[in-house]
Amino acid sequence: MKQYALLILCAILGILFLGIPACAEEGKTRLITDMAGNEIEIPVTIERVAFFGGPIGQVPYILGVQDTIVATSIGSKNSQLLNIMDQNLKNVPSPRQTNGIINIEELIKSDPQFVLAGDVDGAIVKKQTTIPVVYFFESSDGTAEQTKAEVAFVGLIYGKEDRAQKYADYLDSTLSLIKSRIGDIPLSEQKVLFNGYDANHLITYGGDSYMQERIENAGLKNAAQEVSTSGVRPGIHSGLDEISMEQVLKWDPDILVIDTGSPDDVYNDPKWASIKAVQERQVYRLPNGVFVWNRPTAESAVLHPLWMAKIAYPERFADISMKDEVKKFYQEIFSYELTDEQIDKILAGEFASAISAGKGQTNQTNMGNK
Amino acid sequence: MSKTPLKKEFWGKRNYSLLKTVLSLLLLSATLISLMVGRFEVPPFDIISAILSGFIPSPDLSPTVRSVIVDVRLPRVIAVILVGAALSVAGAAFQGLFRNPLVSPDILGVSAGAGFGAALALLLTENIFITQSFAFLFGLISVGLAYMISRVYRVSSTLTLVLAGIVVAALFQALTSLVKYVADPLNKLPAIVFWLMGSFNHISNSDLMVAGPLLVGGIVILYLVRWRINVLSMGEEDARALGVDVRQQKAIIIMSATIISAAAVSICGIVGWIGLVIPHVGRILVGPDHKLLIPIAALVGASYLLIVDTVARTVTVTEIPIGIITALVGAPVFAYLLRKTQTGWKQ
Repeated sequence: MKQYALLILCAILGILFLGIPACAEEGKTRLITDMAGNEIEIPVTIERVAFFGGPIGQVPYILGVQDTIVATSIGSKNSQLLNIMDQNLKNVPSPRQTNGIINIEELIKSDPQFVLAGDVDGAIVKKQTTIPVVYFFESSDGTAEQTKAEVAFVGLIYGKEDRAQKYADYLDSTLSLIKSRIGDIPLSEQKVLFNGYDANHLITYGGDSYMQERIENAGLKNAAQEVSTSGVRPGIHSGLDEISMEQVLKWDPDILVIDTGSPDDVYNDPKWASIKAVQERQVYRLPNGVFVWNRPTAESAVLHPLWMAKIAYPERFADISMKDEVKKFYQEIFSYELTDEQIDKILAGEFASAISAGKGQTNQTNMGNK
Repeated sequence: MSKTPLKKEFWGKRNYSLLKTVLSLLLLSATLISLMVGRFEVPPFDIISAILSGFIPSPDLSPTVRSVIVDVRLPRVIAVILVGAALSVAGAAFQGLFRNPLVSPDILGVSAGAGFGAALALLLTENIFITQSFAFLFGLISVGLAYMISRVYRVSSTLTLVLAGIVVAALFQALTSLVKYVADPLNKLPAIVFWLMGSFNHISNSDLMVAGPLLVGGIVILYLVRWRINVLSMGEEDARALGVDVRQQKAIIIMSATIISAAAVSICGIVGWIGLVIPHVGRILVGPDHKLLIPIAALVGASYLLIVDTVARTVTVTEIPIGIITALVGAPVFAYLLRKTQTGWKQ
């Protein structure tokens, strides 16, 4: 018995002596204040982070720290383009499905140093695990300022303030470019845009959603401005709600942006025939890059208002090619060289975040989780 | 086995034709009001000329107004009337057939199956027509499955059939959850969630072309066999003794009700409570005789759903999902009716 005890004692001492220096090296932390105002210790050397949240998923790529992602959201993992840009993404598990739906064991297995999460996901991780949670916002309305602040905050964590600043400057200069072109259009002459999502083109963002600012930034009026669509509905992104067809006919928008189907389908649908956007052939399919453009992401904060302004007022943006702008943005911000074919696919909205890319992988993970 | 029919109902046989006239007028006025109100204001005269514009050209009518009436409001009103009537008739037929007041048209799993079919199609395509076809097909498949399971046990009891229906419904609900779990949360999942919530917001004339005949066909068949439901509702042995081919009649009724439910789900999603509650209202009015009950259920169901849907599309700028209102109104009404359902169910 005695020799066993001795052996165990030796083992414990051994681990302690060997372990302490290693821990000291690794365990160096610094104190930061997260975006919800909590003070939290985070490691100085960041190697393993879980990114929970659709829009936040692309921030590590902006900062060039995608190698530290050990867990992500299914929305990012399923992004066809992100999988092309980052070959390693297919090996990263996605314990977070939608807001508030997290596979905790999968998260623990991925062993992150901390989780970057929003309020709903963060609360769940905090309650069920000992993994530290860094809140990247307390509540997000997705404005351009907030997107900048988010990128800056993650940049601060990683010590990549320069990359974050570069993004902020890029966003500012794009918005001021748009403003310089459309700023002189009086309110009464601004065109009216309607976002008609889903297969029936009747799901939209109202005046109290982040989309309002984005549409205004493009020198346009949101047809659904009078509608309140804030609040979270089960299974649907906050800020979206369904409008009746009659209401759209009443608004009679100049421009219709769809995210499902093709403009030709709308042109051939008698229900839509009398709408100005259809008669003037102003129906467009929303582009889709690493993430759909109608969510408050860093990518779309820059490119979406520019795209809207250009389709609405082409004569004022004659010298600007959307293809070049997309190429430049990916070059400078994501440090990724898009092919012409990829750019066309982005602008045609064909980069589905659909199940196509890495489908088998996703299904496998899901089945495994069950 | 003596039923106590026509005991406490408010109207009874004598005033039946008067009741039918009153309900028809109610439906007619509900239709007119529904055509007149909406988010887009249209003067009453323009509504008439818009509806007639297919036959009489009216050059001074604005194309937008015409579109509001002909392409949006009219197909929606017609669809609501057909679905309301069809689901109520199917519910009345099933409650008689299964001799159970708690049965609704989707007792054999048709809604669960159709919901799964739609979810699956939405996951794989963006095409509305494929989605509707899948919904319809899987609605039929699920009831077919339930029917086959019940046949396997060679017990021709309706109870086995109901239990098989519950099993199949549970299976398809689980599959729907699986599809939702696998679906991309960015665009596929919201589409599925919205679809399953049920709405008449998307009805177009082309939807009516396909689903309309199916709904009307189902109603007509159930109307024609309505006296046989009476016989079947006395129990299978009695029905057989009276010389009715029980299996064949049962199959006809189940098939018609299933086609109705599947067609309804395929164009407007799952609208609950109509098929459960309306037959009870009808029974209170005219008693359990299906010869009288079926037409009354159709009229009441059509008027009720039309009123509810008109509210859903007019009170707020955004659409109120109709399933919420039918359940909110249906549940308390049903609770109240439980007191009264003595009528016709005392054996």
